[in-house]
Amino acid sequence: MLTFLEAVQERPIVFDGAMGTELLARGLVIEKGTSPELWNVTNSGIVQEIHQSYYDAGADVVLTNTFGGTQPKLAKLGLGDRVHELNFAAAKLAKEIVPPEKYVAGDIGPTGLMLPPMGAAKIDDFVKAFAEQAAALWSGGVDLFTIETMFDLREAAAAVEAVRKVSEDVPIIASMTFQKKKRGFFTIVGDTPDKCFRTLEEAGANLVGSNCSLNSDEMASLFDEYNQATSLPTFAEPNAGQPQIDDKGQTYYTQTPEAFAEDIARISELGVRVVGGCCGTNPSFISKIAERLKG
Amino acid sequence: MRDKDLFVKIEQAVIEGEKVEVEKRVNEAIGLNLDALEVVNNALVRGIDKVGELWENGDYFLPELIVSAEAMKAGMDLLQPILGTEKGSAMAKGTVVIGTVEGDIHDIGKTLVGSLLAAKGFEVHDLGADVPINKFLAKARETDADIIALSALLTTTMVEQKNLIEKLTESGDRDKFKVLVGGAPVSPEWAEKIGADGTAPDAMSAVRLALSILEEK
Repeated sequence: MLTFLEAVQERPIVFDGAMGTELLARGLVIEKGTSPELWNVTNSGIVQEIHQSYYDAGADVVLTNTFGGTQPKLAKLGLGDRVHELNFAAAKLAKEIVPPEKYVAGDIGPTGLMLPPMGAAKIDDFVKAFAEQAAALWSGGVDLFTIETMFDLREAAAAVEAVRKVSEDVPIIASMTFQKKKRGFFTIVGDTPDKCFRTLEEAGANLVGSNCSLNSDEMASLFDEYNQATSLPTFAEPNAGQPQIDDKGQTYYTQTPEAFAEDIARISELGVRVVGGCCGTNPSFISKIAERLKG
Repeated sequence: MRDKDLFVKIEQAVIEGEKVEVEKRVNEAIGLNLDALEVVNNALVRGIDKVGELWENGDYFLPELIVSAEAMKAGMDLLQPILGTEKGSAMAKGTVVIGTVEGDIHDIGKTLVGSLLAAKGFEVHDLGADVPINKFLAKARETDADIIALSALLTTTMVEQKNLIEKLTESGDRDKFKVLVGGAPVSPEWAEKIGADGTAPDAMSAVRLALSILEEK
Protein backbone atom coordinates (compact mmCIF):
# COMPACT_ATOMS: atom_id res chain seq x y z
CA MET A 1 0.00 0.00 0.00
CA LEU A 2 1.22 3.49 -0.80
CA THR A 3 2.04 5.81 2.06
CA PHE A 4 -0.26 8.81 2.31
CA LEU A 5 2.38 11.15 0.87
CA GLU A 6 3.02 8.79 -2.03
CA ALA A 7 -0.72 8.60 -2.71
CA VAL A 8 -0.91 12.42 -2.75
CA GLN A 9 1.66 12.47 -5.55
CA GLU A 10 -0.17 9.79 -7.49
CA ARG A 11 -3.79 10.88 -7.72
CA PRO A 12 -6.38 13.37 -6.40
CA ILE A 13 -7.16 12.55 -2.78
CA VAL A 14 -10.67 12.94 -1.41
CA PHE A 15 -11.31 13.62 2.27
CA ASP A 16 -14.61 13.16 4.03
CA GLY A 17 -17.34 15.68 4.81
CA ALA A 18 -18.85 17.11 7.98
CA MET A 19 -18.96 14.97 11.10
CA GLY A 20 -20.81 17.25 13.53
CA THR A 21 -24.02 17.42 11.55
CA GLU A 22 -23.96 13.67 10.92
CA LEU A 23 -23.73 13.12 14.68
CA LEU A 24 -26.53 15.61 15.35
CA ALA A 25 -28.69 13.81 12.80
CA ARG A 26 -28.11 10.63 14.76
CA GLY A 27 -29.17 12.08 18.06
CA LEU A 28 -26.17 13.89 19.53
CA VAL A 29 -27.17 16.70 21.86
CA ILE A 30 -24.43 19.09 22.92
CA GLU A 31 -24.66 20.08 26.56
CA LYS A 32 -22.47 20.00 29.66
CA GLY A 33 -21.13 16.56 30.25
CA THR A 34 -21.33 15.51 26.65
CA SER A 35 -19.46 16.31 23.45
CA PRO A 36 -19.04 14.83 19.99
CA GLU A 37 -15.76 13.32 21.21
CA LEU A 38 -17.54 11.46 24.01
CA TRP A 39 -19.41 9.47 21.39
CA ASN A 40 -16.13 7.79 20.47
CA VAL A 41 -16.63 5.89 23.71
CA THR A 42 -20.38 5.91 24.34
CA ASN A 43 -21.60 5.50 20.75
CA SER A 44 -18.55 4.23 18.90
CA GLY A 45 -20.70 2.12 16.56
CA ILE A 46 -22.49 5.20 15.28
CA VAL A 47 -19.24 7.09 14.76
CA GLN A 48 -17.93 4.09 12.81
CA GLU A 49 -21.10 4.07 10.70
CA ILE A 50 -20.49 7.69 9.77
CA HIS A 51 -16.87 7.01 8.83
CA GLN A 52 -18.01 3.99 6.81
CA SER A 53 -20.60 6.03 4.96
CA TYR A 54 -17.88 8.44 3.88
CA TYR A 55 -15.50 5.68 2.80
CA ASP A 56 -18.38 4.10 0.87
CA ALA A 57 -19.11 7.43 -0.78
CA GLY A 58 -15.57 7.50 -2.14
CA ALA A 59 -13.49 9.22 0.52
CA ASP A 60 -9.85 8.12 0.67
CA VAL A 61 -9.41 9.60 4.13
CA VAL A 62 -11.66 10.20 7.11
CA LEU A 63 -10.91 12.59 9.96
CA THR A 64 -11.20 11.20 13.47
CA ASN A 65 -14.07 12.54 15.54
CA THR A 66 -11.74 14.68 17.67
CA PHE A 67 -12.16 18.22 16.38
CA GLY A 68 -12.71 19.59 19.90
CA GLY A 69 -10.47 16.99 21.53
CA THR A 70 -7.90 19.15 23.30
CA GLN A 71 -7.91 19.58 27.05
CA PRO A 72 -9.02 23.25 27.08
CA LYS A 73 -11.97 22.51 24.80
CA LEU A 74 -13.05 19.34 26.61
CA ALA A 75 -12.66 21.01 29.99
CA LYS A 76 -15.45 23.46 29.09
CA LEU A 77 -17.81 20.50 28.94
CA GLY A 78 -16.42 18.89 32.07
CA LEU A 79 -14.41 16.27 30.17
CA GLY A 80 -10.91 17.73 30.51
CA ASP A 81 -9.47 14.65 32.18
CA ARG A 82 -10.45 12.33 29.34
CA VAL A 83 -8.24 13.62 26.55
CA HIS A 84 -6.24 10.43 26.09
CA GLU A 85 -9.22 8.12 26.38
CA LEU A 86 -11.43 9.94 23.86
CA ASN A 87 -8.74 10.63 21.26
CA PHE A 88 -7.32 7.12 21.47
CA ALA A 89 -10.81 5.64 21.08
CA ALA A 90 -11.51 7.86 18.08
CA ALA A 91 -8.39 6.71 16.26
CA LYS A 92 -8.89 3.08 17.16
CA LEU A 93 -12.50 2.86 15.99
CA ALA A 94 -11.64 4.41 12.64
CA LYS A 95 -8.65 2.13 12.15
CA GLU A 96 -10.90 -0.87 12.88
CA ILE A 97 -12.94 -0.19 9.77
CA VAL A 98 -10.56 1.61 7.40
CA PRO A 99 -10.74 -0.12 4.02
CA PRO A 100 -7.56 -1.25 2.23
CA GLU A 101 -5.64 1.51 0.44
CA LYS A 102 -7.42 4.15 2.53
CA TYR A 103 -6.33 6.26 5.49
CA VAL A 104 -7.29 7.67 8.87
CA ALA A 105 -6.32 11.25 9.68
CA GLY A 106 -6.11 12.43 13.27
CA ASP A 107 -8.22 15.59 13.44
CA ILE A 108 -6.86 18.52 15.44
CA GLY A 109 -9.00 21.65 15.79
CA PRO A 110 -8.50 24.91 17.72
CA THR A 111 -8.20 24.86 21.52
CA GLY A 112 -10.42 27.91 22.00
CA LEU A 113 -7.54 29.61 23.82
CA MET A 114 -6.35 32.91 22.45
CA LEU A 115 -3.04 34.74 22.50
CA PRO A 116 -2.74 38.36 23.58
CA PRO A 117 -4.34 40.75 22.95
CA MET A 118 -7.40 38.56 22.40
CA GLY A 119 -6.70 36.36 25.39
CA ALA A 120 -4.08 35.41 27.93
CA ALA A 121 -2.72 32.16 26.52
CA LYS A 122 0.95 31.47 25.80
CA ILE A 123 2.39 29.44 22.94
CA ASP A 124 3.38 26.73 25.42
CA ASP A 125 -0.27 26.29 26.40
CA PHE A 126 -1.04 25.41 22.80
CA VAL A 127 1.93 23.10 22.36
CA LYS A 128 1.07 21.26 25.56
CA ALA A 129 -2.60 20.83 24.64
CA PHE A 130 -1.88 19.65 21.11
CA ALA A 131 0.95 17.33 22.14
CA GLU A 132 -1.35 15.55 24.57
CA GLN A 133 -4.01 15.11 21.90
CA ALA A 134 -1.57 14.11 19.18
CA ALA A 135 0.08 11.49 21.38
CA ALA A 136 -3.28 9.84 22.01
CA LEU A 137 -4.21 9.87 18.32
CA TRP A 138 -0.79 8.49 17.39
CA SER A 139 -1.14 5.65 19.90
CA GLY A 140 -4.52 4.92 18.36
CA GLY A 141 -2.83 4.41 15.01
CA VAL A 142 -3.64 7.37 12.77
CA ASP A 143 -1.82 7.50 9.43
CA LEU A 144 -1.52 11.28 9.29
CA PHE A 145 -2.64 14.43 11.11
CA THR A 146 -4.91 17.18 9.88
CA ILE A 147 -4.65 20.42 11.80
CA GLU A 148 -7.71 22.34 10.67
CA THR A 149 -9.97 25.33 11.00
CA MET A 150 -7.17 27.33 12.54
CA PHE A 151 -7.71 31.08 12.59
CA ASP A 152 -4.55 32.04 14.42
CA LEU A 153 -1.37 31.18 12.51
CA ARG A 154 0.62 31.01 15.75
CA GLU A 155 -1.74 28.39 17.16
CA ALA A 156 -1.53 26.41 13.92
CA ALA A 157 2.28 26.53 13.97
CA ALA A 158 2.23 25.42 17.61
CA ALA A 159 0.05 22.46 16.59
CA VAL A 160 2.53 21.44 13.88
CA GLU A 161 5.34 21.74 16.41
CA ALA A 162 3.42 19.61 18.90
CA VAL A 163 2.72 16.85 16.38
CA ARG A 164 6.40 16.80 15.43
CA LYS A 165 7.23 16.17 19.10
CA VAL A 166 5.12 13.04 18.81
CA SER A 167 6.49 11.93 15.44
CA GLU A 168 9.23 13.42 13.30
CA ASP A 169 7.88 12.21 10.03
CA VAL A 170 4.17 11.53 10.25
CA PRO A 171 2.46 13.47 7.42
CA ILE A 172 0.88 16.72 8.61
CA ILE A 173 -1.75 18.75 6.79
CA ALA A 174 -2.07 22.27 8.22
CA SER A 175 -5.23 24.09 7.17
CA MET A 176 -6.28 27.66 7.98
CA THR A 177 -9.64 29.40 7.92
CA PHE A 178 -9.79 32.61 5.91
CA GLN A 179 -12.39 35.31 5.47
CA LYS A 180 -13.00 37.09 2.21
CA LYS A 181 -12.61 40.82 2.83
CA LYS A 182 -12.63 43.73 0.37
CA ARG A 183 -8.85 43.69 0.32
CA GLY A 184 -8.58 39.93 -0.12
CA PHE A 185 -8.35 36.76 1.94
CA PHE A 186 -7.22 37.03 5.56
CA THR A 187 -7.55 35.08 8.77
CA ILE A 188 -9.56 36.84 11.44
CA VAL A 189 -6.22 37.71 13.00
CA GLY A 190 -5.00 39.31 9.77
CA ASP A 191 -2.65 36.81 8.12
CA THR A 192 -2.72 36.16 4.38
CA PRO A 193 -2.73 32.70 2.79
CA ASP A 194 0.81 33.03 1.45
CA LYS A 195 2.18 34.05 4.82
CA CYS A 196 0.34 31.16 6.44
CA PHE A 197 1.51 28.59 3.91
CA ARG A 198 5.13 29.74 4.28
CA THR A 199 5.06 29.73 8.08
CA LEU A 200 3.40 26.32 8.29
CA GLU A 201 5.87 24.80 5.83
CA GLU A 202 8.73 26.17 7.95
CA ALA A 203 7.10 24.68 11.04
CA GLY A 204 7.16 21.25 9.42
CA ALA A 205 3.84 20.68 7.65
CA ASN A 206 3.83 18.46 4.56
CA LEU A 207 0.65 19.90 3.09
CA VAL A 208 -0.94 23.31 3.62
CA GLY A 209 -4.38 24.62 2.80
CA SER A 210 -7.67 26.04 3.87
CA ASN A 211 -10.99 24.84 5.19
CA CYS A 212 -14.30 26.23 6.49
CA SER A 213 -15.79 29.74 6.38
CA LEU A 214 -15.61 30.01 2.60
CA ASN A 215 -18.01 28.32 0.20
CA SER A 216 -16.63 26.30 -2.71
CA ASP A 217 -16.70 29.20 -5.17
CA GLU A 218 -14.80 31.49 -2.80
CA MET A 219 -12.36 28.70 -1.99
CA ALA A 220 -11.68 28.28 -5.71
CA SER A 221 -10.85 32.02 -5.91
CA LEU A 222 -8.50 31.67 -2.97
CA PHE A 223 -6.56 28.85 -4.59
CA ASP A 224 -6.64 30.56 -7.96
CA GLU A 225 -4.72 33.34 -6.28
CA TYR A 226 -2.59 31.39 -3.83
CA ASN A 227 -1.98 27.81 -4.96
CA GLN A 228 1.29 28.95 -6.54
CA ALA A 229 2.40 30.55 -3.28
CA THR A 230 3.62 27.21 -2.02
CA SER A 231 5.50 24.29 -3.49
CA LEU A 232 3.90 21.93 -1.00
CA PRO A 233 0.86 19.92 -2.07
CA THR A 234 -2.28 21.79 -1.05
CA PHE A 235 -5.55 20.96 0.71
CA ALA A 236 -9.01 22.53 0.34
CA GLU A 237 -12.22 21.82 2.25
CA PRO A 238 -14.86 24.49 1.66
CA ASN A 239 -18.27 24.87 3.28
CA ALA A 240 -21.41 24.11 1.32
CA GLY A 241 -22.68 27.69 1.50
CA GLN A 242 -24.11 29.17 4.69
CA PRO A 243 -26.44 27.44 7.13
CA GLN A 244 -30.14 28.35 6.96
CA ILE A 245 -33.15 27.15 8.90
CA ASP A 246 -36.24 26.00 7.02
CA ASP A 247 -39.89 26.19 8.08
CA LYS A 248 -39.61 22.96 10.02
CA GLY A 249 -36.69 24.30 12.01
CA GLN A 250 -34.23 22.07 10.17
CA THR A 251 -30.83 23.35 9.21
CA TYR A 252 -29.87 23.15 5.57
CA TYR A 253 -26.95 24.52 3.61
CA THR A 254 -27.40 26.55 0.51
CA GLN A 255 -25.17 24.65 -1.92
CA THR A 256 -26.14 21.46 -3.73
CA PRO A 257 -23.76 18.49 -4.01
CA GLU A 258 -23.59 18.96 -7.80
CA ALA A 259 -22.65 22.64 -7.67
CA PHE A 260 -20.20 21.95 -4.89
CA ALA A 261 -18.53 19.13 -6.81
CA GLU A 262 -18.17 21.37 -9.88
CA ASP A 263 -16.26 23.92 -7.82
CA ILE A 264 -14.18 21.16 -6.27
CA ALA A 265 -13.28 19.99 -9.78
CA ARG A 266 -12.13 23.55 -10.55
CA ILE A 267 -10.09 23.59 -7.36
CA SER A 268 -8.51 20.29 -8.33
CA GLU A 269 -7.69 21.65 -11.80
CA LEU A 270 -5.86 24.54 -10.14
CA GLY A 271 -3.48 21.95 -8.76
CA VAL A 272 -4.90 21.38 -5.29
CA ARG A 273 -4.18 17.72 -4.57
CA VAL A 274 -6.39 17.01 -1.56
CA VAL A 275 -10.03 18.07 -1.37
CA GLY A 276 -13.02 17.43 0.80
CA GLY A 277 -16.06 19.10 2.34
CA CYS A 278 -16.46 21.02 5.58
CA CYS A 279 -19.64 22.37 7.22
CA GLY A 280 -22.86 21.51 5.44
CA THR A 281 -21.50 18.55 3.52
CA ASN A 282 -22.47 14.91 3.88
CA PRO A 283 -21.79 11.63 2.05
CA SER A 284 -23.78 12.71 -1.01
CA PHE A 285 -21.40 15.64 -1.49
CA ILE A 286 -18.42 13.34 -1.21
CA SER A 287 -19.79 10.84 -3.72
CA LYS A 288 -20.39 13.63 -6.25
CA ILE A 289 -16.81 14.78 -5.72
CA ALA A 290 -15.43 11.27 -6.06
CA GLU A 291 -17.44 10.80 -9.27
CA ARG A 292 -16.13 14.05 -10.70
CA LEU A 293 -12.50 13.51 -9.79
CA LYS A 294 -12.08 9.80 -10.23
CA GLY A 295 -14.53 9.23 -13.07
CA MET B 1 -3.20 72.92 23.18
CA ARG B 2 -6.56 73.85 21.67
CA ASP B 3 -9.52 71.62 22.55
CA LYS B 4 -9.96 70.50 18.98
CA ASP B 5 -6.34 69.40 18.70
CA LEU B 6 -6.71 67.47 21.93
CA PHE B 7 -9.81 65.70 20.64
CA VAL B 8 -7.98 64.76 17.45
CA LYS B 9 -5.08 63.41 19.51
CA ILE B 10 -7.45 61.28 21.57
CA GLU B 11 -9.22 60.01 18.46
CA GLN B 12 -5.87 59.12 16.84
CA ALA B 13 -4.68 57.36 19.97
CA VAL B 14 -7.82 55.21 19.97
CA ILE B 15 -7.30 54.35 16.32
CA GLU B 16 -3.71 53.44 17.00
CA GLY B 17 -4.62 51.47 20.11
CA GLU B 18 -2.33 53.59 22.27
CA LYS B 19 -3.87 53.09 25.71
CA VAL B 20 -1.30 55.12 27.63
CA GLU B 21 -1.65 58.04 25.22
CA VAL B 22 -5.46 57.93 25.47
CA GLU B 23 -5.24 58.03 29.26
CA LYS B 24 -2.73 60.87 29.18
CA ARG B 25 -4.78 63.02 26.81
CA VAL B 26 -8.11 62.29 28.49
CA ASN B 27 -6.59 63.29 31.81
CA GLU B 28 -5.45 66.48 30.13
CA ALA B 29 -8.99 67.12 28.96
CA ILE B 30 -10.30 66.49 32.46
CA GLY B 31 -7.69 68.86 33.84
CA LEU B 32 -8.91 71.54 31.44
CA ASN B 33 -12.50 70.94 32.59
CA LEU B 34 -13.63 70.06 29.12
CA ASP B 35 -17.14 68.66 28.82
CA ALA B 36 -16.86 64.92 29.46
CA LEU B 37 -19.70 64.02 27.10
CA GLU B 38 -18.00 65.92 24.30
CA VAL B 39 -14.74 64.10 24.93
CA VAL B 40 -16.65 60.83 24.61
CA ASN B 41 -18.60 61.71 21.50
CA ASN B 42 -16.12 63.87 19.62
CA ALA B 43 -12.96 61.99 20.40
CA LEU B 44 -13.34 58.47 21.83
CA VAL B 45 -16.37 57.44 19.82
CA ARG B 46 -15.08 59.01 16.63
CA GLY B 47 -11.95 56.94 17.11
CA ILE B 48 -13.80 53.67 17.63
CA ASP B 49 -16.11 54.44 14.68
CA LYS B 50 -13.07 54.77 12.45
CA VAL B 51 -11.73 51.48 13.87
CA GLY B 52 -15.04 49.84 12.98
CA GLU B 53 -14.68 51.05 9.39
CA LEU B 54 -11.13 49.75 9.21
CA TRP B 55 -12.35 46.37 10.51
CA GLU B 56 -15.15 46.17 7.98
CA ASN B 57 -12.77 47.00 5.15
CA GLY B 58 -10.29 44.35 6.16
CA ASP B 59 -7.60 46.83 7.16
CA TYR B 60 -7.89 46.07 10.86
CA PHE B 61 -8.14 42.59 12.27
CA LEU B 62 -8.96 41.11 15.63
CA PRO B 63 -5.76 42.13 17.44
CA GLU B 64 -6.08 45.75 16.26
CA LEU B 65 -9.75 45.79 17.19
CA ILE B 66 -9.13 44.54 20.70
CA VAL B 67 -6.22 46.87 21.34
CA SER B 68 -8.21 49.88 20.13
CA ALA B 69 -11.27 48.85 22.10
CA GLU B 70 -9.13 48.58 25.23
CA ALA B 71 -7.56 51.98 24.62
CA MET B 72 -10.99 53.45 24.21
CA LYS B 73 -12.30 51.74 27.31
CA ALA B 74 -9.39 53.17 29.31
CA GLY B 75 -10.52 56.63 28.27
CA MET B 76 -14.13 55.80 29.15
CA ASP B 77 -13.08 54.51 32.58
CA LEU B 78 -11.46 57.86 33.36
CA LEU B 79 -14.54 59.79 32.27
CA GLN B 80 -17.18 57.53 33.80
CA PRO B 81 -17.00 59.04 37.33
CA ILE B 82 -17.43 62.54 35.89
CA LEU B 83 -20.24 61.48 33.59
CA GLY B 84 -21.89 59.71 36.46
CA THR B 85 -22.18 62.90 38.43
CA GLU B 86 -22.84 65.45 35.71
CA LYS B 87 -24.86 64.23 32.83
CA GLY B 88 -25.16 60.58 33.70
CA SER B 89 -28.75 60.38 32.55
CA ALA B 90 -28.11 62.29 29.36
CA MET B 91 -25.23 59.95 28.72
CA ALA B 92 -27.04 56.68 29.23
CA LYS B 93 -28.87 56.04 26.02
CA GLY B 94 -30.48 52.91 27.27
CA THR B 95 -29.82 49.64 29.01
CA VAL B 96 -28.79 46.52 27.18
CA VAL B 97 -28.45 42.99 28.45
CA ILE B 98 -26.25 41.05 26.05
CA GLY B 99 -24.87 37.54 25.94
CA THR B 100 -24.25 34.41 23.91
CA VAL B 101 -26.99 31.82 24.31
CA GLU B 102 -26.80 28.63 26.29
CA GLY B 103 -24.72 25.87 24.76
CA ASP B 104 -22.70 28.31 22.70
CA ILE B 105 -19.28 29.53 23.78
CA HIS B 106 -18.56 31.85 20.84
CA ASP B 107 -18.20 35.34 22.22
CA ILE B 108 -15.83 37.55 20.26
CA GLY B 109 -18.53 39.23 18.19
CA LYS B 110 -20.87 39.56 21.14
CA THR B 111 -18.16 41.14 23.30
CA LEU B 112 -17.34 43.54 20.52
CA VAL B 113 -20.96 44.63 20.16
CA GLY B 114 -21.14 45.08 23.94
CA SER B 115 -18.02 47.25 23.97
CA LEU B 116 -19.22 49.38 21.10
CA LEU B 117 -22.64 49.83 22.70
CA ALA B 118 -20.97 50.92 25.94
CA ALA B 119 -18.82 53.27 23.92
CA LYS B 120 -21.93 54.76 22.43
CA GLY B 121 -23.38 55.46 25.84
CA PHE B 122 -25.49 52.42 26.61
CA GLU B 123 -25.43 50.82 30.03
CA VAL B 124 -24.33 47.33 29.05
CA HIS B 125 -24.68 44.16 31.11
CA ASP B 126 -22.62 41.55 29.30
CA LEU B 127 -23.50 38.15 30.74
CA GLY B 128 -20.80 36.33 28.82
CA ALA B 129 -21.37 33.11 26.91
CA ASP B 130 -23.40 29.95 27.51
CA VAL B 131 -26.13 32.00 29.21
CA PRO B 132 -29.41 30.29 30.08
CA ILE B 133 -32.64 32.06 29.17
CA ASN B 134 -33.59 32.56 32.79
CA LYS B 135 -30.40 34.47 33.44
CA PHE B 136 -31.06 36.83 30.50
CA LEU B 137 -34.61 37.48 31.67
CA ALA B 138 -33.68 37.92 35.33
CA LYS B 139 -31.04 40.52 34.46
CA ALA B 140 -33.30 42.31 32.02
CA ARG B 141 -36.04 42.62 34.61
CA GLU B 142 -33.61 43.57 37.38
CA THR B 143 -32.06 46.40 35.35
CA ASP B 144 -35.29 47.41 33.61
CA ALA B 145 -33.44 46.90 30.34
CA ASP B 146 -34.53 48.36 27.06
CA ILE B 147 -32.89 45.75 24.90
CA ILE B 148 -32.03 42.07 25.26
CA ALA B 149 -29.37 41.17 22.70
CA LEU B 150 -28.73 37.49 21.95
CA SER B 151 -25.79 36.10 20.05
CA ALA B 152 -25.54 32.57 18.65
CA LEU B 153 -22.97 31.19 16.29
CA LEU B 154 -24.31 27.71 15.74
CA THR B 155 -27.50 26.66 13.99
CA THR B 156 -27.97 24.28 16.90
CA THR B 157 -27.96 27.03 19.50
CA MET B 158 -29.73 29.83 17.65
CA VAL B 159 -33.03 28.15 18.51
CA GLU B 160 -32.46 29.53 22.02
CA GLN B 161 -33.25 32.96 20.59
CA LYS B 162 -36.68 31.66 19.57
CA ASN B 163 -37.10 30.03 22.98
CA LEU B 164 -36.36 33.23 24.87
CA ILE B 165 -38.92 35.19 22.88
CA GLU B 166 -41.47 32.45 23.50
CA LYS B 167 -40.73 32.53 27.22
CA LEU B 168 -41.21 36.30 27.31
CA THR B 169 -44.50 36.02 25.48
CA GLU B 170 -45.68 33.32 27.88
CA SER B 171 -44.84 35.43 30.90
CA GLY B 172 -46.74 38.37 29.50
CA ASP B 173 -43.97 40.95 29.38
CA ARG B 174 -42.83 40.55 25.78
CA ASP B 175 -43.64 44.21 25.15
CA LYS B 176 -41.34 45.44 27.88
CA PHE B 177 -38.16 44.56 25.99
CA LYS B 178 -36.81 44.85 22.49
CA VAL B 179 -35.11 41.60 21.53
CA LEU B 180 -32.25 41.82 19.05
CA VAL B 181 -30.57 38.73 17.67
CA GLY B 182 -27.26 38.21 15.94
CA GLY B 183 -24.52 35.79 14.98
CA ALA B 184 -23.29 34.19 11.77
CA PRO B 185 -26.26 31.85 11.11
CA VAL B 186 -28.84 34.52 11.98
CA SER B 187 -30.63 36.03 8.99
CA PRO B 188 -33.31 38.71 8.67
CA GLU B 189 -35.71 35.88 7.74
CA TRP B 190 -34.89 34.03 10.97
CA ALA B 191 -35.27 37.19 13.04
CA GLU B 192 -38.66 37.87 11.53
CA LYS B 193 -39.76 34.26 11.84
CA ILE B 194 -39.08 34.16 15.56
CA GLY B 195 -40.58 37.57 16.26
CA ALA B 196 -37.36 39.36 17.14
CA ASP B 197 -37.30 43.15 16.96
CA GLY B 198 -34.28 43.22 14.72
CA THR B 199 -30.96 41.79 13.65
CA ALA B 200 -27.75 43.21 12.23
CA PRO B 201 -24.96 41.49 10.32
CA ASP B 202 -22.02 43.08 12.12
CA ALA B 203 -21.03 45.09 15.18
CA MET B 204 -21.22 48.55 13.67
CA SER B 205 -24.68 48.05 12.21
CA ALA B 206 -25.76 46.41 15.47
CA VAL B 207 -24.98 49.63 17.28
CA ARG B 208 -26.88 51.68 14.68
CA LEU B 209 -29.80 49.31 15.07
CA ALA B 210 -29.80 49.64 18.86
CA LEU B 211 -29.78 53.42 18.58
CA SER B 212 -32.66 53.49 16.12
CA ILE B 213 -34.64 50.98 18.18
CA LEU B 214 -34.35 53.31 21.16
CA GLU B 215 -35.56 56.24 19.14
CA GLU B 216 -38.67 54.28 18.34
CA LYS B 217 -39.38 53.57 21.99
